[in-house]
Amino acid sequence: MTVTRRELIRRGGIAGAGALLSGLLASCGDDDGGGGGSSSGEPIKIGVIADLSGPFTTYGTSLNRCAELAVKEINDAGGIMGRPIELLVEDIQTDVAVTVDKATKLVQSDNVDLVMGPIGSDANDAATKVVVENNRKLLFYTETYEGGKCFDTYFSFGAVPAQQIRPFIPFLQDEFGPRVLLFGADYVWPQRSFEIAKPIIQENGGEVVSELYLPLVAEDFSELVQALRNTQPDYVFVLYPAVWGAALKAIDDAGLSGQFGIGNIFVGDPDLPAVAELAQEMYTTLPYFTVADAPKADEFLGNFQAEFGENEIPSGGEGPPAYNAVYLYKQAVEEAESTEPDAVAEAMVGQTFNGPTGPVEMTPSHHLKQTINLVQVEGDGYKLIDSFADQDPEQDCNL
Amino acid sequence: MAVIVGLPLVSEDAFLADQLGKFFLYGIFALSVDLVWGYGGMFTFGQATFFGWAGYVVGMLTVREVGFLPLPFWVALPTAVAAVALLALGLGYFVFSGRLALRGVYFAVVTLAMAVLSERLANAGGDITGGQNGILFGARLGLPGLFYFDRDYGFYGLTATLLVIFYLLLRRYILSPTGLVLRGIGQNEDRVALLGYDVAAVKRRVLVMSSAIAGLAGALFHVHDGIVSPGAVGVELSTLVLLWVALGGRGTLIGPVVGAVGLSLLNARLSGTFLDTWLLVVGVVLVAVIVAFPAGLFGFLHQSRSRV
Amino acid sequence: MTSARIGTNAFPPPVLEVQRVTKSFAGFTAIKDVSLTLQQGEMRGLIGSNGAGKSTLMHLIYGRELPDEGAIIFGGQGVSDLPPFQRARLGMALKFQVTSVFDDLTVEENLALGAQPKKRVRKGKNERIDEILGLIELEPKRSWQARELSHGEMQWLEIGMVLLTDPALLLLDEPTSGMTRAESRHTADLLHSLREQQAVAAMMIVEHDLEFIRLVSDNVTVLHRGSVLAAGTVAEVQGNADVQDAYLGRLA
Repeated sequence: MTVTRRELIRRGGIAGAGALLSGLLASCGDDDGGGGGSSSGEPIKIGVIADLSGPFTTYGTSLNRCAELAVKEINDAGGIMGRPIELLVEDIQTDVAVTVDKATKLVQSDNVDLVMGPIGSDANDAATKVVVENNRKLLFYTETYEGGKCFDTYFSFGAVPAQQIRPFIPFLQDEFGPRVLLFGADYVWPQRSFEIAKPIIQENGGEVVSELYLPLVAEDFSELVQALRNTQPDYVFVLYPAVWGAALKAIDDAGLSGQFGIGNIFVGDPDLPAVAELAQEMYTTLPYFTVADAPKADEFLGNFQAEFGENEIPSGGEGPPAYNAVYLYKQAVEEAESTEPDAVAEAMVGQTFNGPTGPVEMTPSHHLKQTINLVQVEGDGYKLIDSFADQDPEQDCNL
Repeated sequence: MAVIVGLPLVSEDAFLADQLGKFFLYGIFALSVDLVWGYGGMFTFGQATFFGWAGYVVGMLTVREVGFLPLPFWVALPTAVAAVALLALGLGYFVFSGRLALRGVYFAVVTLAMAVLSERLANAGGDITGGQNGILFGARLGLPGLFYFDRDYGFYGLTATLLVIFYLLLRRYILSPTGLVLRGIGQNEDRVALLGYDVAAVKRRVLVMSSAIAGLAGALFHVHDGIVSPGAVGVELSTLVLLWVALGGRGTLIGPVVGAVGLSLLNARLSGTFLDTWLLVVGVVLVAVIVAFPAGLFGFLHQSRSRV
Repeated sequence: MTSARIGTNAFPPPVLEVQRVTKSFAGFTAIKDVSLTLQQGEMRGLIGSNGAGKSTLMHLIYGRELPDEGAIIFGGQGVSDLPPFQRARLGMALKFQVTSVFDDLTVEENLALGAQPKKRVRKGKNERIDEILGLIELEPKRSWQARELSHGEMQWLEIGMVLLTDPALLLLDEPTSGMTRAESRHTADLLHSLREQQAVAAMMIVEHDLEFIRLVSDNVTVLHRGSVLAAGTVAEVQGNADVQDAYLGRLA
């Protein structure tokens, strides 16, 4: 029987595919088995799970870069206890299943001493399960989120609602009046944040005239416009991260711009240009802005831009917190004289650091006490209005 | 088949076993699509809805504490499979009934709508589905203290066995007289009808079968991961599995399994090695395969063996 | 649901009655008040120019379309509401205008699909397949994929396939399109031998090849613009003045 050329190519292709497959499978055999961390003399391994593709790419990239910067600085200065830090970065593609996969790989196959990330709340749930619950390793979450996680080896460095809201409400009320409309995207972070905001508003003598949720990526904002018309609030407190620009446009189209104040807790520096035009005089609170007045802020920004490009700005919700996190880790490891997760966790509590967001302190609740900055939109940028130091995360967590 | 299944036993890597276990479940998932599309000609954009909702049902039944819940896992699993089978049955009656044979495009569109709607529903499900964050699983599968099925080697053994079983069962089905009818439907539905077969009934039956298979794989997958979220029922995964099947060679059974396991492995390895460019590399590999093997890696199996 | 299976011998004629059917599509009347009757053992030709309504009439008979008015009676049973697969189960068989075999399946597998019983006893399925293979002269190619056959062979395969369903009425939509003279003659012989063996109760053949129609038809129905222009033996129809007018001598 004659084998045609086509058959040969096909068979060769199958063989090639088989070889490739074997190669791929074998390539992971190089990693050391077992579950322990690295031993002394070897690099300290920090795994980063960040979204480097997909909808959260900007945030993931920011997280990654800030971590890189901190690691570079520390390594240049001799590392941690004389050991260099090795950064292992995995792209979780804004996908929960991939997050599980990569997190598992980092802790089981690569034996990292610490995992940093991710971004999304759902990915956070997944990562916590894998890293903290299943493998009892350290997970540092550096993104703004709704709070509530309480685990031995879990630490949060981003802002949580109480921090951003407690000093903010009195200010907004003084500025605009007591009647507030709460507008958020329909998922846990806005929902939980508003739950925390409502008693604070009440304590200050304010009144919630309406509470409205729309899908994260909505196209029709008529419900919002309707509510604004009907209730005529003094200001709107908003947590609507994905398409806030579109909502602003709808408000403007309805002729309602400027009839009420706006306060939000999510529009960082990189997000501002997209909404600035219609958001003049809007107020925002976050830990980090380029205009914030922390002593180390300028130095940080300078180094960041030197490393990544003149016009690059880190996204404030997760980038600078990651920078803080790496330094705090270094301090904790040095105090515990070990990279063993429980020892480091114990040493983390009480650590303080003075970085790009100002002075921060890790509280016993495993969430970060930090400075919150209040800015206002002016032109196409922010101007600093006020700064609230030592804002407590107010987490109900006793470890 | 033996190569794929046997490899991790050689290397002593528990992580690899764990990862391959997941990919084997993807392989079963791909088999379910090959059944309904590769052989039956029903191009579906919504197979992930069965894969994902089964995960959700298991989650909701084993985690929530309402009324008679939570239920033990061995009750929740068949319930989940039955639930998605019911969904498939409903879909089947909706699309395949009536005099006017609703053509392939229509079915594709309806399944696409089903996927989009599912993702929205899961996202907006609040306390029932956990909204955007989904549901976190607590329970572990197996005999406490002795042996666990939901991780590492235990998981690997379970999924490898299931993959082989389903492969053999489906192969038997395809080679049976009923399988022949299905293959006929996939090639020329009208001709089959005019031979006296109730094509709509056959399609419904196959759709339910395929959804049950996908559901079982999905339930186990999500129990292993410990979390199910809206992405599990959406268009992205539905499209991905179509890619695996097309690349491996639809209507070959072995092709889709290789496609699913191979591509998943490729994705996992490459995204670690080529951090910035892995998407590009994967894209190049895909294009290369399609150019070299237009009918899929195993498409040559369709060629006649009569003249040899 | 399933009615009594219509056999080839034991039910009252006629095999098929088309009673005054009318069918319109969006204002255009494709078939208007058409009637015809097929008796036991009859081989009927159906001819007409393009657009005369032949396809529509076939669709109405086998169930792809439902009549607006009138009825289709098959073996004494009203089938106007039944979907195609049920009419097939009752004994209607159709060879499609566009030859429809299963390209990826082997010749044997193609035939098996015809032979696989729906609700009948599986007696001698393989023998029947062998028989038909002999009849359509594809025995040596039984393991070939259908796509590898010549066009003419594919058409015979399709006829073989539908014969295995044991039909009472055989509907053939342009069975010799693309065939050579020799192949056409062969097909005509095949049809005649089917009648001799009483393998089917009646046949209806739609064709453009008038030579072939002459070979296989007892009677011919001529359609023109949706209505029956003439009906009768080939000779009668040929001599019909209206028919000659309509075709400008093409029947000669």
